Amino acid sequence: MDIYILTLLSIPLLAALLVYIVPFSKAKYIPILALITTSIISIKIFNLNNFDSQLNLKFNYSHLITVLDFILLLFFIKKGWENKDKPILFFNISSLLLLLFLELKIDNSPNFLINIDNISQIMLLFVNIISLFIFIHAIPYMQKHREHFSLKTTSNNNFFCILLLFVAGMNGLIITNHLLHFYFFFEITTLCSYLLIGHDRTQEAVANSLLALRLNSLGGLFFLIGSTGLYFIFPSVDILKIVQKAPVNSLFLLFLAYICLAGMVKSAQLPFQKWLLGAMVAPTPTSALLHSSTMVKAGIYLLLRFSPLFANTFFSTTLALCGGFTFLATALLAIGQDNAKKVLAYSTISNLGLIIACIGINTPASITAALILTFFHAFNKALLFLCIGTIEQKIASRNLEDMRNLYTLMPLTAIITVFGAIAMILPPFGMLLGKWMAIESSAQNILLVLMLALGSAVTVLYWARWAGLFMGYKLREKIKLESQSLLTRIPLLILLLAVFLLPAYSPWLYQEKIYPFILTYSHIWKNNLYLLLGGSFQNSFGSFPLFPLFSLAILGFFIAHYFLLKAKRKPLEIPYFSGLSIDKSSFGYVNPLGQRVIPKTSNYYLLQVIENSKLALWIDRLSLIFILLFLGGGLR
Amino acid sequence: MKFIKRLLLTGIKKSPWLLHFDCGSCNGCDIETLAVLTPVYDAERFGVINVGNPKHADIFLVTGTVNRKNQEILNNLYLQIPEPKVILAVGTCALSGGIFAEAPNVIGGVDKIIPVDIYIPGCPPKPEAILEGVLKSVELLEDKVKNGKI
Amino acid sequence: MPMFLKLFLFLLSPFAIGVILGIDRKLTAYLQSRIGPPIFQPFYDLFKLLGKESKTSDYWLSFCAYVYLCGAITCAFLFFLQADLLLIFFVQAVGSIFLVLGAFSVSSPFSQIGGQRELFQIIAYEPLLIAVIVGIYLVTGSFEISSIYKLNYPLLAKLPLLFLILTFALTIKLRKSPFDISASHHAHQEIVRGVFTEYSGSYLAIVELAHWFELVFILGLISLFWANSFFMSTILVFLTYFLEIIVDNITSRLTWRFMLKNAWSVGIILALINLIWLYKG
Repeated sequence: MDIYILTLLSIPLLAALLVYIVPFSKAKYIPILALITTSIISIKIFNLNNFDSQLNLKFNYSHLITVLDFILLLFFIKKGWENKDKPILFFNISSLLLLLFLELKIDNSPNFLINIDNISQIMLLFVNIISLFIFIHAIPYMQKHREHFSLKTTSNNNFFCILLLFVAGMNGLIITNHLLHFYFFFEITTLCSYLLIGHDRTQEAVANSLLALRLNSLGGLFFLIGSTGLYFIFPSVDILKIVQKAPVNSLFLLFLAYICLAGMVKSAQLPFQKWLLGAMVAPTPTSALLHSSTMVKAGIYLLLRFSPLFANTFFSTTLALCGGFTFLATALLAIGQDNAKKVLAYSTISNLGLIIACIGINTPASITAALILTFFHAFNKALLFLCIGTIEQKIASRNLEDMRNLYTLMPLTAIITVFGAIAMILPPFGMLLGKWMAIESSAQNILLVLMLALGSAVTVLYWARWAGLFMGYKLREKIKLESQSLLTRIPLLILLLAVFLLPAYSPWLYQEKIYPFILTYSHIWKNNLYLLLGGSFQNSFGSFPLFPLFSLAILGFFIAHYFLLKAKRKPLEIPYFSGLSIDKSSFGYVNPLGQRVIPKTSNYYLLQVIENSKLALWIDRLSLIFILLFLGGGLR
Repeated sequence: MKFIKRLLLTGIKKSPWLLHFDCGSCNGCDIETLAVLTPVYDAERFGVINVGNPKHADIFLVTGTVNRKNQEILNNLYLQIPEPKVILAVGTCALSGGIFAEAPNVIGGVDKIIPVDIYIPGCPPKPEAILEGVLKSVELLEDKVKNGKI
Repeated sequence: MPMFLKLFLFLLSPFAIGVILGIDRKLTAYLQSRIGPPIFQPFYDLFKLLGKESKTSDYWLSFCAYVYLCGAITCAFLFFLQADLLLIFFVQAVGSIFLVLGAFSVSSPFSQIGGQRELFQIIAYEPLLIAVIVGIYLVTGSFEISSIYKLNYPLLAKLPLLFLILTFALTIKLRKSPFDISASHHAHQEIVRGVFTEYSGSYLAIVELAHWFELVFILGLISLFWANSFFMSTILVFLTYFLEIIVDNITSRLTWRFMLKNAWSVGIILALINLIWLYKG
């Protein structure tokens, strides 16, 4: 076990070093080899069932981490100084002082440094595997990207080096049990995010990277305030011990709220969402890895770790309301977007809000929902981001309207994107399974359930529109498979398979990982656990027959596909356009000036309602109110 | 296939959907045609529905003369109606061009462009005549189905 | 209820819906002082469309039409199995989404705009239906339909406002005036048929049939409001549908803005009030 953990951290770091030194053309496959190793190890760890979750390590690396922590903070302060950014300076200097104060007080005995439980197994699994596919996809992508932006030849070395550093940091964050080590890895993700957003060095990229640094430093400060407070009430930095033994009183919850707030900043919840939207200027692998599937899950993971502490409190309900509000509000904002990556960003924030709402409801069913959503959202979003990245490089635009009739140009990618979008909203796929659990478990809280109902409808609107956009194609144009690098195509296909087939695996995931996790806190999470009966999730108020639905879906797909093939035997006719046509293949007309006019349609973006800055302003204000409510939710 | 054909036969007798196209008429015929759909004549008791889309239609009812500008539209609409279909020319103009026949931009009757099955003369024809034409065309549709033209 | 009876009722349900739609047209004709088509007219239309040639303007159209049918049949079937209501609702969404996707796959402006409007219809009625389902849960303590049949009083007594909302959602789902925004039922108020424009021949028949199965779910939901007496639930369904027809005939189409605004404000507020009654009561 020790050796596994050592490799999980050291292999990506070593690879990062190698990539940094060796020229990129030679170092191309090093990251992939490293990630294959970590993926295999994460699968091995995932398959372990009985192990000592709290490892006693022989060596103590706490001091090393302390030193690195200070270096990191000094680096941020330097960046703040260089860019004359007062908030960054302020947040990081305060963090520095707080950290200094804390480090003087705590003991760094090595016997509780690492804790691996069922949720860390799940997190390790998907972080490593998804990173692997994103890295494979990134190799041809970054080559083109460098040519397109005419960046320095070493830029790709830097890029992959930072990405590998991020993977190591993320692995560390998942397995650590030390509150301040968690903070260190938390800041590592901040660092990677900052560096990767600014990778292209354009003016916009630099500005947005600073924004990300500013908000995430604030998150780090929140984390330190919270942990200092917690330490004074319950003098321990052992996360597991805090969760199991700490006295839950109002002051404790107040400081816990700060820690949760740090998680919410990392997960880009309202009103801290701006940095994630800005982060979309980064190259697509960054967005796919950091800003949708893994890094933002760090915040969720933090909340999940602490969730048993505040079960059955009003504090928890307020957290759920914050999440629910984010879910609804950002889904509304997503309607007004025609930038594909922005839609994905809003959708990410919105789904993270849903997950946080599930954590806030804090019942066995809702925690199950949160874990299932986290797992499937990671795969689904990674797939969609990679698709958009591929499309974006082909058509040189991120605008959704430019992607209309994409089926003509790149049929395979278009279809994968459509299926990815469909898997976000329809049964029997994982996201819907999670949403179903979320709504059923939130039904006791009227306000929350109405928010979820409205939010889920809006989600359907923008995903259905998205899927419809890619499906059309121009008549009588010979459609042939687009040529793309195998390194681009394989990750897309494998992730598509994962999105489609993994839901069938979810009963086992539940039975072997989620269920035992919930049972460990059975004194808190008692009622209405889901039981598996013949492949269907059941508890006392609902049932989701996953296997029957899955087989019906497959059957339906083949029936529809049969008729699709049957229809393909006949030639296509031009669509109805009041009988007007230019020639036999296109509808439209020739106007009095002799110009060919082909009518264009575009989506309703509801710009008067949604993009209205007034609405965005009100959403920000309301979210502040919810955050305030949440901060004081434990006081009583 | 035989079963579907029998279903079609039952259906088509009772549910002929009609597409009405004004191909440059003086609107006299159109007023009479629309009168057929009003409560007084109530074509819907025979299942007739006035649809706005050739892709859903069975009967193509054309009024007015064909000119050079709209001959293509007439042809397109005709092509977009799925088989089996019947074409009805209503009014003198649709039959021969009527008083506009000599005009330089006018080509003539509808049958110059597309094959017409039933001619209903009159300027304008009475609603009863149009209704009878529609019912005649239902018989024609039936024949077409029987003769295997689907 | 024994299994074979459920299966029998399930197989019978589309015929019942066909007859109801026939009566709908007859009644509408009566209200307009016409004679109107025969009661079995919807079946004739369906048969005819099944046999007609289909003009395909996009191959995906046929795929989407059949997925719509499969989704709607599954939804109705799950209803007769008395499964989880929320699940049935989500399965219903599969069908309606694929109808829209089919419309979107053709680049004709008519079907595109029809698809967009149909999406607005969907987001108008979805939250309302979820609110109704949550209300039922708060009364019975379970999302399963079977638990409703165990009550010894009608749901209507506890959920009067949610019943009102359900009829609101029904109007939108049926595409009846004033909410026949994506496509009005018999194209009386419209130039082309909105979201159905490009579905022709047998595809239109499939879509129509799928719509019947969806109605099984919606009308079934209404019948649940008086579930403890078979007679009363039938009466309730017919009464509600009759009111639907009256409303259809005395109103004209409104804009989607109006629909969305009212569904999201009035609808949600009424739902909230009713849910608060249940929560505190």
